[in-house]
Amino acid sequence: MTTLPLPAQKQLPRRNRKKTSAFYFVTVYGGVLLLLFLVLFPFYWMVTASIKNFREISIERTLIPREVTPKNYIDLFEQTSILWHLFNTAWISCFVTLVTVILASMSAYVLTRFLTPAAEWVARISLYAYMVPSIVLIIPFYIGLRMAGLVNTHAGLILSYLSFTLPLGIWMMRACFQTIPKTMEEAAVVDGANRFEAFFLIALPQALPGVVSTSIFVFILCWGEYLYPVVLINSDKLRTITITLDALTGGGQNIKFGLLMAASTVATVPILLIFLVLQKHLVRGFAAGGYE
Amino acid sequence: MAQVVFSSVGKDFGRDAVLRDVEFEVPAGRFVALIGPSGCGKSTLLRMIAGLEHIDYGEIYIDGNAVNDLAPKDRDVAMVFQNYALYPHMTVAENMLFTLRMARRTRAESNDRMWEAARILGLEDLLDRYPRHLSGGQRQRVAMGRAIVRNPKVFLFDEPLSNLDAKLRVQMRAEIKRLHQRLGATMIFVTHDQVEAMTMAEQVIILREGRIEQVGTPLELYDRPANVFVAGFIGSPAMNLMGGTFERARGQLCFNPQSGSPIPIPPGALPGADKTIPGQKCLLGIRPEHITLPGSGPDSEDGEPFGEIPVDVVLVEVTGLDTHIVASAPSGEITILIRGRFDTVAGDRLQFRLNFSLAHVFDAETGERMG
Repeated sequence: MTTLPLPAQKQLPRRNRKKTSAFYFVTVYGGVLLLLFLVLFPFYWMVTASIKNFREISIERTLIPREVTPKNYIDLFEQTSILWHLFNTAWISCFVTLVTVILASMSAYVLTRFLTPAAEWVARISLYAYMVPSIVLIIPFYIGLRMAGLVNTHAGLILSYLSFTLPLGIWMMRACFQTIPKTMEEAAVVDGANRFEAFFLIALPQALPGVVSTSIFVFILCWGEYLYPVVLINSDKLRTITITLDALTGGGQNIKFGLLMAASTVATVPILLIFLVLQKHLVRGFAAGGYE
Repeated sequence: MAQVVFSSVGKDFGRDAVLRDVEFEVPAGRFVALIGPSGCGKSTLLRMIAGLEHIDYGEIYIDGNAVNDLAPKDRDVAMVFQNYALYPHMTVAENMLFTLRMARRTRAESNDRMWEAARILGLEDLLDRYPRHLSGGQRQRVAMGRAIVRNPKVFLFDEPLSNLDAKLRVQMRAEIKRLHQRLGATMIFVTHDQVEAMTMAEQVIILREGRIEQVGTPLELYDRPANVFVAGFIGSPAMNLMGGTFERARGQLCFNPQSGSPIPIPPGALPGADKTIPGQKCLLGIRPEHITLPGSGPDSEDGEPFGEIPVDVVLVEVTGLDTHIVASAPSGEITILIRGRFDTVAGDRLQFRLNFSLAHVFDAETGERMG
């Protein structure tokens, strides 16, 4: 058997590594920068447009604002009920998130711990239910809610939101509970806990990262939901933020870009804040096998 | 401290019977090991005592009371799980206090008990740490601490040492045994490691395929295995089993292996052999340490030494303390254990003597012990 001389063996990987690292650097960092630009540029444009005047937005189309003005924001708060709509959106989103997380975590726990053969089917059906497009369900929903006298009410809107947040929540929480070993709850039961105590004191605290990521997903879905409020709500007092934004486009005929971008910025800030606060938990929720 | 009694207990998973008519009694304060190969039902049995598995038929009594319909929390048992099952979001102290919190004990009493348990197990400095910051041995100790704070009637251990490395396992074995001596509580310990069972338990129950094969003290099981399964399961290296028949020629009892010449047996040395009928297929069981070097022991009337067989050395394993020789004998491959050092290599031809007075005879068909 012949062996390669030692220097040749040593040189080969070193040269390869150099090539690999240059290629790696260009593709990975270049790719990341391109993605960042694609994601962040619309945000940049939104924020800067909201503080530009009409001339700079529509005629000069400057990239960097020459003159910063709060006029768009002043007009927005004076001409629209955006704060009221923001409050509507916030409380509906919070309420739906809370109800979804409570019901979904309990259902998902039951689906992972009991009824094993049937549970798989229930979980699948919940996913299929989430996959059905809202546009398909909107007419039956409208008819059902009208019969129940819930059209143009927040209660009706909340019920319609739950139709898509619950299946998503159950699916996400189920994946979370599946990673938590059953033996800990068994240990709790032997230690004297009943099923509820084992769930609330042992299983749920460990599912916290999952609860946080589910909450954020559900909250964002509710915050940005357009179809249900546009169909189910017709009084200005009950509107949500997405309808306000829609109204500012003026049906595509007379788009007030300054006002629209100011409203978009106002609508984005709460979501951004939530992300910043819960970022740590969200990453933990995504990391598979993060539970001991 | 409580007695645990199993009365014709059975369990089915679907069509498969996991446990069949299990009957045994664990006297109060006794340390009992449940042992058997994987899937024999030993963990299921333990979980049935804890109340984590339903009892399909039969009754389990703890301290004289049937517990079949009692919830786990009402059985007053504590369990140490294989993966410790510590609550990761609670500190060591909170882990130990959890059971007392569930029992609605006062804070002062709970703290006293927790500190007492921590002192016994040397956990005082770890009380404010989380389980993820502990080593395997420390986690094991916390799991035991969680069990002892309650002062339960029965302690259940479900293979608690299997996740530890060999050195720590030996150390924890001694610690659990010391804990039993100190608390004097009834302890039931499940393991698949026969060394653990033999060294720790006062009584060993061997299970196979959901049935009890034998119950006895470790030495009873070692010295008088009830059947071929127990004989092969207990002891390391495992007992040699040689197929053959017992024949009497000219008044001399001989073991007639499947191949090779008959081996004479000293009179009265092997009572089991007398119970066989001529031509009946048997298994001669002899432990590796009961095959010795020739030169000692009685000889037959015509001067031939009893029980001597020629073997060809196949493999030599040296542990330092003893030497294991795997050798090819006329009756098949056998293992020989020699205390201390023994100078031999593969390919050597040696003479060894079977110590028949310490051998066992089993029926080849039923596997049951004879005599």
